[in-house]
Amino acid sequence: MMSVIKKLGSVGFTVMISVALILLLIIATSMEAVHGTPFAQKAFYQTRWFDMVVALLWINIFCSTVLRFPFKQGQIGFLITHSGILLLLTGALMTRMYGIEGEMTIFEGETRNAIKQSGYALSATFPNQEEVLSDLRQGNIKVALTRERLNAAAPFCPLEPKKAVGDREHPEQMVDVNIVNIIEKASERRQVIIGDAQAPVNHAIEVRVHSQQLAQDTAVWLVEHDTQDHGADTAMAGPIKLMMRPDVRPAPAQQPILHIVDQAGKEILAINVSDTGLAKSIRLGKTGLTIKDLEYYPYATVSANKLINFPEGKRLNPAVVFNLVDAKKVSVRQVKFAFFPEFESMHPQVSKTAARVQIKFEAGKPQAVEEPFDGLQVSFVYDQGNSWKYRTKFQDKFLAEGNVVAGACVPAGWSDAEFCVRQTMSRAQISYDIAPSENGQGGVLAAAVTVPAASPADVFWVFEGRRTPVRLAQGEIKLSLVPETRAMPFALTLKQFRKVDYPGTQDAASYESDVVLVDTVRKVSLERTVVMNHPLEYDGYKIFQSSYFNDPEAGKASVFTVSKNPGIPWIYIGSILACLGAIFQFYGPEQKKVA
Amino acid sequence: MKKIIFAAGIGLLWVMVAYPVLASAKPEGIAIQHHGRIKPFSAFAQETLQLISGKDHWQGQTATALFLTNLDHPQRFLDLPFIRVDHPALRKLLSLPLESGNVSYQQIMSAEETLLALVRSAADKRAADKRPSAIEQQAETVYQRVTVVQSLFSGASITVIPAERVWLSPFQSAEAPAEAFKKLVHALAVKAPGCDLVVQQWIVESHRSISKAVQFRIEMERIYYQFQPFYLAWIFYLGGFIFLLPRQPWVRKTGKFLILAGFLGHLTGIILRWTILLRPPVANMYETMIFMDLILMVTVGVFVIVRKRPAFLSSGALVSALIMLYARLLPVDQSLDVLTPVLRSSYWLTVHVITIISSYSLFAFAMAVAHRHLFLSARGKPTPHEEQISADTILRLLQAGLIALGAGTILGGVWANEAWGRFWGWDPKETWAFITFLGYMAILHLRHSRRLNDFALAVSAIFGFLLVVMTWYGVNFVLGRGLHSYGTGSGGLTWIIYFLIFEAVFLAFVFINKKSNNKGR
Repeated sequence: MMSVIKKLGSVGFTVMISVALILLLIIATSMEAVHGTPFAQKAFYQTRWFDMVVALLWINIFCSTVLRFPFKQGQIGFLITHSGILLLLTGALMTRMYGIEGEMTIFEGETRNAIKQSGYALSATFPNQEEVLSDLRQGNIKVALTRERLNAAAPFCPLEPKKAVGDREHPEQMVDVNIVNIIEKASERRQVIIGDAQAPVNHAIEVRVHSQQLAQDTAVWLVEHDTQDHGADTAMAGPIKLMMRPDVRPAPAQQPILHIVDQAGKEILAINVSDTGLAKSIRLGKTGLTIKDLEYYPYATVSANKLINFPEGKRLNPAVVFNLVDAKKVSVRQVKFAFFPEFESMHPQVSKTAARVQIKFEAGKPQAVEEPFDGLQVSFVYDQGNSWKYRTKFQDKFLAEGNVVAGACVPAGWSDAEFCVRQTMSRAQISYDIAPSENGQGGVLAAAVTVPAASPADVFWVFEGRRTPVRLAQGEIKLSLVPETRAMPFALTLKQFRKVDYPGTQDAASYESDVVLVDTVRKVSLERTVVMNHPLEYDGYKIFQSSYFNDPEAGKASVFTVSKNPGIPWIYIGSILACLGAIFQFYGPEQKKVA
Repeated sequence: MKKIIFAAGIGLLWVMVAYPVLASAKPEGIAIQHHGRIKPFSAFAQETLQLISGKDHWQGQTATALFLTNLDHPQRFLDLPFIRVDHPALRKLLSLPLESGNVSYQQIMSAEETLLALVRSAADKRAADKRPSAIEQQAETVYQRVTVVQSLFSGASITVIPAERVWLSPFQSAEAPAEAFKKLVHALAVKAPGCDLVVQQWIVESHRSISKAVQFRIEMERIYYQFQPFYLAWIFYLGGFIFLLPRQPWVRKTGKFLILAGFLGHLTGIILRWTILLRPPVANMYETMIFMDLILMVTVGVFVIVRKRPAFLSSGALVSALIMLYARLLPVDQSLDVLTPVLRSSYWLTVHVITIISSYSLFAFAMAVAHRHLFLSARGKPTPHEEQISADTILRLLQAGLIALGAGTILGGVWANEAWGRFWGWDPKETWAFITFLGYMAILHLRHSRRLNDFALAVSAIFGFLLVVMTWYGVNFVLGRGLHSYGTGSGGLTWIIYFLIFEAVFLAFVFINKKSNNKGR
């Protein structure tokens, strides 16, 4: 026994445990950088075995202290330091076991008296809207069906005497709900399989997009028809848009035309400005006006207050510039943009002469079969059968084109992005199942349950924030998962939330909430302002401003963190002891002896 | 008598440096509201130019001159090739000239859609708690630069007309001062005779609606920006180190003189920042590095003067200069900024940060002494007495550092408990502080149980400091997650890798030489 204590209390063990902890924590923080904070908390810091490792440290310090008993005079510093650390760790343990932490989201004018905690409960809602919560950690949950619960009309002033539903045929009974499986981040996953020759035509293509520069590596399915997802023929992979469409020929592009219309609305002349053989001056019928020095800029842009043609910009912006000269040789310079007819009203330059005619400039926008998209777009074009072509473009510029070969990878022509078509189908069949979401991103909490009394007695998937109906012989109950709540000994009302900015900026200087705290039992009512860094304290609870919402429809809401930390006094006393002890140890009379 | 001459010399030196700065009351002093604070135009211009181009000057012009003269024709901002775009792959995507060199707004905006596509994709990733790729992060930075140039072009950021809460820009307001400012800008642009008077008049006019205290702070900030105290300090520290190398007494005296002058500049800089911001300058990476450096120099001073160990002065000065250099090299924000709500008005936070950086400075000094010790022992020089002094100093520094680190970490917990009700949450910064604590604690336990000799103690002091570097820089810049994100940034890793390579080479050199020394004996 003594030898074990000696081993556990030795400096060698201290160093061993320190090094082990260091390595463990390096791994944990690296994993956190890759997989995110919730992952690290779940996989390391909140686990039992991690508690055990910290407990080993406690045991090591405890044993090393016990070993020095009875204490000699030169060990006072040691004793104070190490018992301080023991107290600190004990306090941490108490907080871990008995601490309360949760969130309260309150909209302006609302009152709440419970906090939301990190766990979840199974909620069953009965026809009378009564809700019963049960602990999700139990494998088997019994839900009591009472007459009242099954009576949908009960709570609202019954005009007729209460009709007891199922009082004779279905006596009050318990219904079993068995939890079969829990998936924390579940999403509906689409299954795409090849249909047989009789299956309806439904094209589908599976593509993997890869880019190192954009840190993208995603595989997606594009599907022509999917009853659950109407946008299944389009998908985003980071900034890259992927889409599929049937083979339809685009209409030819419209020519850029300058229309000259007289006051009566009759067209005098239509000039195709892309025609290179235009005369230097063009008479406008009998109006006495002449257009001179007409210039056409398909890619017009303004640089240093001058209009220039800038095809490198690749932004189609057809414009014409010309001088409008009247019979008295008064010349007015005119600029017309095909896509911005209102430009003129912003820069009024119309003289009396020019007002005699209306000049409109029209040019076809690039024929967009695909919706306009500013980024990289990869389209897959399919025909009646199963032969596919691909086309990549960036804004208006086509980059690459070719036939799709399943299994081959093709550079998209922008950045280092490349895409690989895995398979194509002309008669795809779609089905859905519930599975953990990919890369653990998104998804909701889901539980698979069986209810033997239900008809049909199937596996039901129950989700957070969505009610799953379960039909029983006696009536229908609705199951869902809801965050675990904990009642507080007080109610909190948010009167007003304010975000105070630094002058002249949108940057917050402070978040403030005016609240009223009411404790009906102790007959306490407090009116306070909770400010970041200045929490409201009541009965061992601390209420902090931790976040806020400003929803244009729902209004403003404050998110408060409410916590109770019973270990704090222990931690503080332990810390002070440890520091004082260390100072005494290093600078007190003992140190001189050691040196 | 000697001391009086010494002090007078240093005073004269600072007057010589400071006089031209103090004597000028030029356009630099025009008050402007920027990032929630009233500051001198020079501060606004330098911060903005630094953000756009990564430089303090532009083609021989100061930032103030560049901005004020171009405001006469704001569209010139769109053609000025002064926007920095670092990433070669991004330059290629934006079809910019591939050879390095800054580019103009127009050049970038011809590929606006590409830039926006990247920025949007980065935002999507952040929303999904993923990290954007390097090229996307760079695109975000470039986009920020572009928006700043846009606000110069539109004049939106030139908020120089005093008003109740939100100051007005002469380029977006029709009030009388607007015309006056435009005239001022024009006079400066064409170097009209008497433009000094116009500026003087503007300053007098606009100062009427500013309190005396704010006027004083504007003046202090103008001096801070013109005088660059930390830049001078690092040069002086480095100079001091070099002058302390030879054995001639007068050269060494000059070295000491330079270090003292550097320290005074350093202290002045900290006091200026404190005065301007009305808070201790310990709220971001740059400020903590500079403040930690000051504490380091105070510690060096204590060891040199009180404990009579003059041999450590040069090591201290060198490390101090290097930390200052790193504060300039790393991509940390040097501007004087207002605080986010969570950092405001918190007594515990200030105490926490100052205690933590005190521990870092003690560990840094221990590391410096360890290098000196290892270098001398590799060359077989130190006498046993010298060796003992080095080891004793390292041990003392590590002990004090460990107490400060432990206390500082706990104070951080106290602050966290006060600010959001959680003492400890295994946030990466907390975790790494704990790792560092465990590391140094293990070293001290091994030393105490006589399992580390002097040589091993010195080597451990160097390894321990690598943990500090990881906690301080690495958590924010390499791991890039967690609550302490107000210090977050990216980049600068190259410089840290150079440091690691240097340490590896140094230790290899020491081990090889020690082996051959041992054989020789």
